[in-house]
Amino acid sequence: MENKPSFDLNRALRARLEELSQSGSLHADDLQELEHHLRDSIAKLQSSGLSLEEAFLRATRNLGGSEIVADEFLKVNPARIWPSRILCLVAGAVLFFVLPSLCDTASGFVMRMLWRLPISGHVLGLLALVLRWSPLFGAILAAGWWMNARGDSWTRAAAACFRKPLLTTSCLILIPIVLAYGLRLANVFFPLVFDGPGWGWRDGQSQWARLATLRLWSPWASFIPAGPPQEHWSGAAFYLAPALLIFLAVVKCRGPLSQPGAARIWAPRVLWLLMGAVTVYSVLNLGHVWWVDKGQGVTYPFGLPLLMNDRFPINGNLAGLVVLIFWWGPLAASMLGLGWLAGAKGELCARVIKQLFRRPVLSALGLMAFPVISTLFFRPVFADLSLFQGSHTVPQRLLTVFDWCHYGGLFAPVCLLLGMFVYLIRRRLNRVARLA
Amino acid sequence: MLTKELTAASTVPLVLSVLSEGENYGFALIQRVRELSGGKIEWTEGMLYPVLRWMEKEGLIESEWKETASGRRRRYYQLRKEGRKALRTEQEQWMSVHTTLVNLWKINPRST
Repeated sequence: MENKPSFDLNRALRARLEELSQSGSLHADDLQELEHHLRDSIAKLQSSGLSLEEAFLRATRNLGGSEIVADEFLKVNPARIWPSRILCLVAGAVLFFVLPSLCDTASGFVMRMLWRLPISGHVLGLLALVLRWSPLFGAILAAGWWMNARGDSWTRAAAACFRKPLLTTSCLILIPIVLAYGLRLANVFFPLVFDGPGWGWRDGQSQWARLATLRLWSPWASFIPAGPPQEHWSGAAFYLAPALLIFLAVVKCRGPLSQPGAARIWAPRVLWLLMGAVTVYSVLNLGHVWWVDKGQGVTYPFGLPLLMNDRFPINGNLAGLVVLIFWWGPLAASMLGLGWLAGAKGELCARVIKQLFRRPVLSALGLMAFPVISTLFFRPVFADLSLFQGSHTVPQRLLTVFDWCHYGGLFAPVCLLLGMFVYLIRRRLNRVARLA
Repeated sequence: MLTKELTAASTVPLVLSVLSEGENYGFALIQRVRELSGGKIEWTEGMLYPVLRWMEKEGLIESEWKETASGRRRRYYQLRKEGRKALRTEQEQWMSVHTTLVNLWKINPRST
């Protein structure tokens, strides 16, 4: 017969306290006090004739559910949660903009020097790829290592990804490359999907051939001016590297994620992460409007309209609208979902988002209506730059689509932030009114 | 058993009253209330600690970690001056509710 494993009180207690500490609302002191409470309670229950395990179960039941207790602690330790929120906010901002551009600067500098050497485009591209992402991965590794020592599950997951740093890093670099080649193959069989000439893969000694090859590996290599535009699809390696990182993190997080109540802990974190990204995006784009206004030119942040324009000969205005919805729909939906997962209790960001989305259809319409209205408003302002004519000639339609994306796209997240801001101010005013 | 609302409302006066007997720690506090109420007041034990923390922040009580003879560390709470003052206010208020109800129920003891 199989031996029943003996009950380990210390381990059971640790697991229980870990559950509580996950919420981030308890001080170390609070946890210690609860531990002593549980031990007292168990000792008392044991003296009344219960076995150790029964006493533990009864004592933890009497203590109350982790969620409820953590929520109560959150009310008295509101400051406890802010470092975690800010960490996520900053992480979102960093992931969105700061780290990639730092990586670009560093790798661009090295690549500019290497470009002068007669090295194959493949080697250059690979080098660019490694140079571009290794600081990012390094930073996550360092953060994971640092937080691991402190036992916080938020980045312990990141640390777990990098427990074998060499293996993980090579996977991160290799898999996107394989995928990029996969896309190349797809291009052979389905030339309609990816209609680039693909001659870059053949490499060569001429400047153009090398440039094309390099751009296949790393399309952000903008330090070398003007390349053939057909390689847009080939950013696979570039874009899939961080996507893979996120995938790995999710796989590694299965443990913490499958714990009961994990959604309530993780959803707010991801929500704050998204908010960080949205904030940076909005700030950047507001600056961008000024930049455009000075008449220095227009840059297009999105490659999708280009694809759409080629494939579907529909009116430019309609296409622009579709792209706009396609662009912001997932963000709005994920925020709504996360707000729902996080529950309206306790978590500020989730509560605000939930308020905004209490009538999801109305909110979604509002969120989309604002960019559309702002686009219409900016039509005359940018009349010289934008065409907005919805004509059927290809370049005009393309420009119209860009206009929608560009001027409309700018204001969708601003609108979200504005909504949150208004809600927070209103809440604060209500509270002041109640106190008075 | 008390309703949720009444349990929540009575937690602070109960804690203040038990602590007015002398310093005490969380677990013993709960035991004392259970014993005095004849088991009628059953707290969700984990909920007491946030309340204690709140009372400490409000300056009603103060706490100190102490080691018992058996080597177990415990966080002892005791009343501060503001706590005693708050206890007196609570006493007045609860007594006025109590007196009113008693007076009403003397006239019509069946209605609840």
